Parts: sequence; C-alpha cells; structure tokens
Amino acid sequence: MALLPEDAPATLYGDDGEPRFFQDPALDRFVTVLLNLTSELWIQTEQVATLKALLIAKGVATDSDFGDRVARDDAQLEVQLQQFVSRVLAPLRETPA
Amino acid sequence: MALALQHAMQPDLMPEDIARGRFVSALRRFVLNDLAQDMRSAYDARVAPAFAKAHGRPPQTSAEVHMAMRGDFAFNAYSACRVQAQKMVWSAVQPVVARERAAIEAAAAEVEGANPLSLAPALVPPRNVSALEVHLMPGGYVGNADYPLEAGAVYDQGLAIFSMGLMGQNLDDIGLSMAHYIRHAFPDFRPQAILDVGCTIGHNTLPWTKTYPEAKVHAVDVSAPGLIYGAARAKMQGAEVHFHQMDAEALAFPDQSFDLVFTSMFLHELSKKTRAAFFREAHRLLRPGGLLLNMELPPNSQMGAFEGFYLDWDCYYNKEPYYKGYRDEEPRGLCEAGGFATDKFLQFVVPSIGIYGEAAVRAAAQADHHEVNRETTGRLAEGVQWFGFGAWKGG
Repeated sequence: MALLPEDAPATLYGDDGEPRFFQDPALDRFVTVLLNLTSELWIQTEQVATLKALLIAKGVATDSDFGDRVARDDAQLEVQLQQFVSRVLAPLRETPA
Repeated sequence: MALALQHAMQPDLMPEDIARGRFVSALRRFVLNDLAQDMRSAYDARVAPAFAKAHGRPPQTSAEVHMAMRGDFAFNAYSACRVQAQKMVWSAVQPVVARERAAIEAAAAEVEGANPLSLAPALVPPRNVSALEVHLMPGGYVGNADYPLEAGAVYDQGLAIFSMGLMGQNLDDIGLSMAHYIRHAFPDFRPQAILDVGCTIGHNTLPWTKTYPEAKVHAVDVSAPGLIYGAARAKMQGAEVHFHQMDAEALAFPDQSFDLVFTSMFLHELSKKTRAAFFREAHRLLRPGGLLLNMELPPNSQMGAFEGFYLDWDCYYNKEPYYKGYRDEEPRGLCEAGGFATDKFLQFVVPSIGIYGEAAVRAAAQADHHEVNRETTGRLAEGVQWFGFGAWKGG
C-alpha cells in the first residue's frame, strides 16, 4: 500500500517505510511506547475515578473518604486530562515546566 | 472531548472506550496547539537564523523550511507524537466498530433502502484510493467486503476523536460554515440541484439539505463502503440525499445537471491528472450561472514559508502523497484549466461557524478582502478558519 510523495527524500523514512525523525530510530519507537503508556495510564485514572464514584453511590465509602469531590462533569474531566497530558509530556516542550 | 455521534449507528461505548478516545483527542490538542507553537518558536529562534547564516537569506519555500526543520528537537517531538496520535485515533475505534458490528448493522438495516444508493460494483477504485492507507487509516477507504459498514463507521468514529470537537457535534462544521457563507454572500443564488463530489460518508453533504431545502442533493464517492454507511447515516438524520458510486474523472450525469458542485477536503487526495479532469467535469455539469465551490487547504503561493511547511507536513508523514502537489497549484489556474473564466473566480476564508458563530460567518460573507496567510487558515487547531475557492459558470 506504499504511495509516497514524488519529491520525498528517501531519508524521511526507515527501511520499514515508517517516518523517521530522530537520529537514532530507537527514539522514534520509544515515543510510541511513551504515548501508549500515557494512554493506558489515563484510562486507568478514569477507571479509578469511576470506581470511586460507584463505591460512594453504593454506600461503601463516602466522599470525604477519598478526600476529594467525586461528582465531575465532562468539562472538569477535560481540564484534568489536559493538565495530565501537559504534565506527563512536559519534557517534550521547548521550555519544560 | 468525548464526542457522541448524532445518529443510531453510534455504538455503545464502554468506559474504557470513552477514556481512550478522550485521551487521543487531548493528545492531539497538545500536539497541534502546544507542540506546534513550540515548533514555531524553534523555527524563529534557531532554525531560520541558522538557515540564514548558511544561505544568506531566510527560507523561502515550504520545502526549504521542511528540510531545515528536520533534526531539530521541536520538529522531531511534534512529528513523532503526531504520527502516533494519528495511529491511536484508528486503534481507539477499530475494536469498538468490530465489537459493535451487530448493533451497527441492525441500526443501518432499519433505514436500508430509504435513501437512494447507486453503487457501481464494476468500478475499479483508482490507485489514490486502493494503494493508500490515507490518513494512516488501516484499510483506507476500500474497506472490508465482509463488513461493508466498517470503513464508514471507523471513519465516522475516528473523525469524532480526530477533530477534537472542531468539526462540530455532527462533524459537519465545514459544510455548515460553507453553506452559511454562500447563502449570505449570494442571497439571490438558490440552487435547485446540488452535487457533493468526494463525499466519503456525506457528513459535509447534509448541511446543504438544510440550507437549501428545496434543492435535490446528490453525493458521489468512488469508494462504496463510505456511501453505504453515509446513505444510512443521512437517513437517520432525516436528510434526503441520493448517493452514487462514481469516479470524479467521469461523473455519469448529463451536461448542465447542477447549480452547485461542492467538494470538501477532496482535491488534495487526487492525483494532478484526476484533479484536472474533475474541474472539467464540474464545468460540464454546471448550468450557466452555477457555482463550483471547493473547501480546501490554502495554496502555498498565498502563505508564508513556515505556514506552508506546517500544512505540507501531512504530505510526508500522514499518507497524503498528493497534498503538497495540490497546495503548489494555483486555485485560479485550476478553475481556468477546467473551463471557467478568470473573472468568475472567487476565494474566501470563512470562520468556523461552530467556534465563531453565525454572525461571524455573515460578516465574512460581507467582507471585501479575506486574509489567507494566517496560522488559523486551514489548520485544525484552536480558532480554525476554512478556505474556500471556486468559480461561477458564465452564461
């Protein structure tokens, strides 16, 4: 299924046809690992939040047991997620926080 | 944003699916806003000065900026993350579409046959479709013969994540913005027959049925799976559209069949030869006084070298091999070569109606001049504005 731009220098891609950005191609692969791990971590974060909410709803625990608010609308979650992404990936920025 | 599709083929999502999709959208926002901004900073601070020192002038073209940026950490970080984020769009939705197959097929069966669908089984998809996993989408537009709705469902679900909310709740912001612009810029123009070419799943076709409810609307694509899905999707939203499987090089309608021929994000997916043939076809199909309207990426000739490079990135790293070749062409020249008179050409920039609102679109429709060279033009990020061009058919 290879169809590349006519003016693309061969150096843009590795032997596997995948784009190559870093001088050491291992780094390209590690970026993939990093982002996959970040995704999985976020999914677990949401799952834990759901479990907390469920435990409170079932009367197994109280809001204060967790020391934070459980009721969250999407907007709050979006802010938390964007902060999460910015925090985990901060070393990629021009000026790391 | 965890966007829910506005029709019955929205699959049941498990909490993990929602979290995964939400993450990918957030990652793309980080890449397309924060890392993109860093790339610009790196260009101004390091890359452009180094180029100027070596060559005695700043980079002048998109290609020069591209080669100068390669190797800089900001480019590498942006690019590696963006490629992976794109792959994650599809990997987030494919398992869901596979798991929810029975529900998706049952929902589609409820409206089967309600919208006309003219398929052409003998039509061999051209190489720009069959030989390409466009946008890094596994299988591309060709899909899976055993599960015809799959490619459309993956595209629809994937676009909901990919667009980060910037294409609207119904993924139709481009069509809505363009239709509103045309209605307000040309209030006397009342098309009775509208054709959308390269419609994929028809998401930007549907707004035309609302803006011009008296018009008969037809939508064409060369790839059957998107049409099969799109016909059901349209009906579920109450839209009457006739979907056809046709090649844009040879559209099987009589001369002068339409008042408006529309495309969105289509021309850059065609080879130069097919693109030229489409413009001739559009001219043939329009009635005198009709309009060809293309929503597309802005051309390199009207953008700065860095802005051009930024958009051309997709050509090399997002399986969009015709992207830069298209952007290097002149919109006016494309129309003229298709048979349109040079004084009938038009182009404009329209604010996203979902972001800026209807009043901003109306204001744009009254404006005499539209600045193209802005970082928001054609760039799917905060504050996006859409570029449109085309020509009236004289008569």
